[in-house]
Amino acid sequence: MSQINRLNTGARTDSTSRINFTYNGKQMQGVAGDTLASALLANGVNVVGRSFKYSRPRGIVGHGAEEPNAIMQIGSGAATVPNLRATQVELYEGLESASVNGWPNVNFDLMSITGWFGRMMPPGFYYKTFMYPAKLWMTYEHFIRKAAGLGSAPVQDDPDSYDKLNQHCDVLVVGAGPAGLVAAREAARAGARVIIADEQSEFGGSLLASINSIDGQAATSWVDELVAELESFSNVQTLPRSTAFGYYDHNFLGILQRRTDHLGISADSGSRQRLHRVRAKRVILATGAFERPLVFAQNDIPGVMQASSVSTYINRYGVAPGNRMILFTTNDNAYQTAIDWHRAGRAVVAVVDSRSAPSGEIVGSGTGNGYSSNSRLRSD
Amino acid sequence: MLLIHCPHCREDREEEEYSYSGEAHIVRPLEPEALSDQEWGDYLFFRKNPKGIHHEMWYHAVGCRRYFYATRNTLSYEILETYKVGEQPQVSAQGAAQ
Repeated sequence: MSQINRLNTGARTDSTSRINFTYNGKQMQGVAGDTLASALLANGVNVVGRSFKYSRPRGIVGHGAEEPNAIMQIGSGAATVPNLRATQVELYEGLESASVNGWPNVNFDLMSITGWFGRMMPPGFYYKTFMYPAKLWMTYEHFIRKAAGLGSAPVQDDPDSYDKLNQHCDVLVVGAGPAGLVAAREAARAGARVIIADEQSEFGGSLLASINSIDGQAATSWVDELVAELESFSNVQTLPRSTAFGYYDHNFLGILQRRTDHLGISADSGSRQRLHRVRAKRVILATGAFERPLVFAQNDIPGVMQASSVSTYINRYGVAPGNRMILFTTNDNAYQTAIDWHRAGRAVVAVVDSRSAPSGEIVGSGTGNGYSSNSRLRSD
Repeated sequence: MLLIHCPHCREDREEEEYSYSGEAHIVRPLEPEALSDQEWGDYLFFRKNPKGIHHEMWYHAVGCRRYFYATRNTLSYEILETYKVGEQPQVSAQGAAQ
């Protein structure tokens, strides 16, 4: 399978490189800078999972920690990890991935026939129906187990080692988007001991997918300069791939740093993950925001994606997840996605705005950017 | 996890160095035999458990191994002051209410 949706414009990917990986046993290729999700989209994979009860097909919706559908089993043997979000798994050479549900596979799921009989299956159907005769439970269970649950845990001992570190600092910044980076820089320039942690593989947050400019330069190069400045301070500790998972009493925080997961299972360089127990004098939470999905019938079918995620895949990873797009929005922000889609050389079929008279700088710039006032429809 | 200032060591140390020893400023009656059962029971068993400012006793178990008092807000877990045994608190629920 080739990378049919790959563009050569991704700001954080190198479209000339090649990284081999497998998905459900199939050989695929991605590029350096990809996540598993962006590589799957580049290869034209639409269905990545199945819903829990009716086995409805599910596709990739988001681009980060909020992804609900693209849940993967990574690796094999003792080092296998169940239930990672494909949007958070960095691609490495030889990565093995598999979707965690769907039988015999995600594209053809026998369990999806339950959808046809959905009305006959009230809550509690499983417990009430399969109680008798009791002797047959072991037979039922074999199939019910297969239908339930997600990935499978490794059965061998964990070959990796882990460690922990107690840390103290003057300012702890959680989140390395524009706000967090500037906050860390100002604190560092004032001489404070700073720790800045971000859950993603590289700092920049939303700016990594931005085509806007800051102080006259591209947002991504502005980020690079700022990160380089931060790393030049001896009083600053930068922690990428680090999730701050708890904020406890008296400014005590727990941070989990994934040190070698992105290098693959062959990596043998110290501990795999490190727990930082940080006591900070001041804490700055600059965690950003998620886009909230719109509610409409059938909004779970593959192909429905968040507007911000579409822009992120195009601008950051150089992947256009599809060919024709209908944009459904309630605000000005999503119009940027239509512009990005058009710049990627794909067709914007329609822009549907729930507001009766949308107006604004970015809304008005539609002509010449792939959508016009003619294609803007009212949904009410 | 709390960060507690020990007035003897004069340092901020982690909660795991300390052990909690209950409500502070409980005075043992001078003549226990003169009390009614009710009053003796109150002294032995009944504690304030307030929502808000609370004076309590802590023991610096793996540090100086001495007792001290702390004024803590039981809602926010903020420790407003710590002081040695024999001293009086600067912050109190009555004072905070006024």
